[in-house]
Amino acid sequence: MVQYGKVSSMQIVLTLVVCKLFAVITYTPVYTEKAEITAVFLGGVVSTLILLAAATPVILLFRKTQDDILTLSYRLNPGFGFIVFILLLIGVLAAAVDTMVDFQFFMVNAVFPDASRFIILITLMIAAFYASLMGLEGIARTGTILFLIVLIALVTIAFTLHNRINLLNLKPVLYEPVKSILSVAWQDTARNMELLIFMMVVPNIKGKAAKSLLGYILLISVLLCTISFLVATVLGEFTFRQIFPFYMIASVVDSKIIRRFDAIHMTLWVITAFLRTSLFLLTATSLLKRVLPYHIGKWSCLFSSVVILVAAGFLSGGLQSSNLLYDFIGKGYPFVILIVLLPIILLLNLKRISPSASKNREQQRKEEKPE
Amino acid sequence: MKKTIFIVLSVAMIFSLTSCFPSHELKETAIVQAIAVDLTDEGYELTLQFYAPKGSGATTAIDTSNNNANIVVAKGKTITEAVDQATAIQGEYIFTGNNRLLIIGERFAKEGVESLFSYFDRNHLTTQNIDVLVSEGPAKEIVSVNIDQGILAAEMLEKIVENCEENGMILRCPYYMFSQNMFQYEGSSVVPVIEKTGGQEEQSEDQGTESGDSSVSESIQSVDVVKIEKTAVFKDYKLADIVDKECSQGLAFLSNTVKEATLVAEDANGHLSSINLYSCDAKLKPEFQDDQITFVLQIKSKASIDEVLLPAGEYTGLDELEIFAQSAERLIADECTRAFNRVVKEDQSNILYLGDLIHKNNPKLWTAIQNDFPAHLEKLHFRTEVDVDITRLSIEANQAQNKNK
Repeated sequence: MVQYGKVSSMQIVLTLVVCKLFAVITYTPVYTEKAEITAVFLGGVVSTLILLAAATPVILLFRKTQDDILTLSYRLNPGFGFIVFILLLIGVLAAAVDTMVDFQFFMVNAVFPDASRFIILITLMIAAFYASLMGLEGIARTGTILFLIVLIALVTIAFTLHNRINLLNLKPVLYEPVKSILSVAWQDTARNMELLIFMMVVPNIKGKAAKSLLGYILLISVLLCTISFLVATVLGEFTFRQIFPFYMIASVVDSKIIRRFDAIHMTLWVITAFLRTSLFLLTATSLLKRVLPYHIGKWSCLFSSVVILVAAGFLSGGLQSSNLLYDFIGKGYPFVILIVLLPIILLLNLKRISPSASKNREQQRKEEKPE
Repeated sequence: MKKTIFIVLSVAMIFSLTSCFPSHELKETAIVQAIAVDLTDEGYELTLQFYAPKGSGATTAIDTSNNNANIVVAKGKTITEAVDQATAIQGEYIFTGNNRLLIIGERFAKEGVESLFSYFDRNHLTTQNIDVLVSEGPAKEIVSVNIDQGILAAEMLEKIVENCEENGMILRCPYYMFSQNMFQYEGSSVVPVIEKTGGQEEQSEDQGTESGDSSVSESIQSVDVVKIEKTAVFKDYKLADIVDKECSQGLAFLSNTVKEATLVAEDANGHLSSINLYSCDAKLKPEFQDDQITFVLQIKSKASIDEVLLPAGEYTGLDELEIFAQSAERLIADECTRAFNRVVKEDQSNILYLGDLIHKNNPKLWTAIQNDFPAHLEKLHFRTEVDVDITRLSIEANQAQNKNK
């Protein structure tokens, strides 16, 4: 995102973690292939390993260059760059629309059943639009503060749930254990669309991008495993009857101080949805600004907002249409094409597209020779 | 110019977005505190107890000397229709998000409670950790009972349930657990039973008949209006059995929910002693021998002596303490065995995570029996290993030591 200033690697990592948490707390096993609850938990653990393996090309690429994925693609070939631009734009817009659709789905089903979905979508979009006008620095600072709030809320929920945890719910997986664990793990991994943002935000990171990515993966894995563990041990197989399992475990907390912990959960949902929509909107805006001429490009944010809002309004109209994007992302097509294959292609052509990386290597060799 | 437009738009937004979500004024809202669901010939009968402050004319809105609650009764073919009818009768918006109790009528429980979950699981206002109770007779009678203690009748009922659980008398059942157990274990669950004692009514009748006698009319009212000591056992979503006080306590031990309990132990000479278990840890484990499955309940408990009824001049020695401890162990073992035999073997209710324990410890066996596991329940064996250790003697400790000297 060359239009914006630099932000610290910690701010980027924490902001992306908050965004990813939206996907974790909205995870709905009722819509996924039937699996045993232990497979759901173990799938979360295994997804860490899959994500680490899948992100290796990205890590290797950004160890050698600090340019973003679109710049590198254009350097390889302008035609290829344009295709990558289109794919990235579709991926980023799809993630933003999916966030808004999921958000309104929760709000109209669990919080305000009588509210109009358009009001929910419009208010979220206004907030996200304002945040993206503030730029990457503003969003990253907000993300860091929100991370602390989210962390405190999660720790509170986890601690107050201690007497509801039943380890008997984690039973041996009886039916096709490997297949069901891998299936769940892949679904978890495929929802890591935040890596798209990371690949675009690399030039803005102060410090080492590869290390930041590694930190992000490890942090998100810890949180994912903790949340999966809580859901699996508190709800057991009952999870498969819940549309919002994490919301359910927040509801069963019995505390003398706060009677309804689900209110905290609602706060988390709003915070993470807002930040995720803002960041994807900002990325879409940044992509458009890079390609379009200035006089058209300055309307990119407004244009992206309208596209996201219209698409979200259209898709949230019915149950089947609202699941379209969720299923599309869950199957992993955007993840495989943009996060696995694209970095591999760029990594193989690194000498051609990143002279700085080659120069650095030659300089290193020269420095090594006298020794 | 831009700033002015921005400010104008921001202010306009504040006013334009305020009515986008439906809101209800507090004074126009009936805050439900307890819900009773009964089944009648015409369908469901819902009795809602809601908060109604009765501080008319006083400086505060709430009169603590009165029961600040009213009830509304509504009927419908479905629970939703009954709620809608209640709204029409009551005239206020019915808010169930602050509900404390869900009481199921005996007839409804006997005919099957599946329909209950369809409404309460889906309803976004359902508080998942509210207490579920089954009433002996119509649930309406429990919710309508006038309790002259505290501000709200439902609050007092909730406290009674809490106290019974803390004293190890019953196994409490929050709504989410009721729904979860029913879903996971073929419609099996255990729920505390609430019944009317009629204490207050009898007293008011006495006062009415002997109004001429001033000493009686001025007597203090009894508060034992309801009691909770029995437990309802569900199987296939239907009420299969109601077990007595001892079985209820046995179930609490079996589920490892006893935090504190008082037992009356007896020595060989018939002397009684109150033993207070202040710490209790129970573990249920399956043992497999050929085709036989034996569940072993291991209980380790620490206790104090609260009271010993001995003839004048006799003291409690360490030997007597051991005898009282053994008596307490036998009591616990008997209660647990009775509860297991009655609920698991006779009623064949799949509770206590028995299937999960077999699944975890012997997955192969579980694969073979899981499809007709309820039929295997009567073939299960049960054994107890109870250890009660009396470690606190209160201030009689000196007497025991003196006798030894």
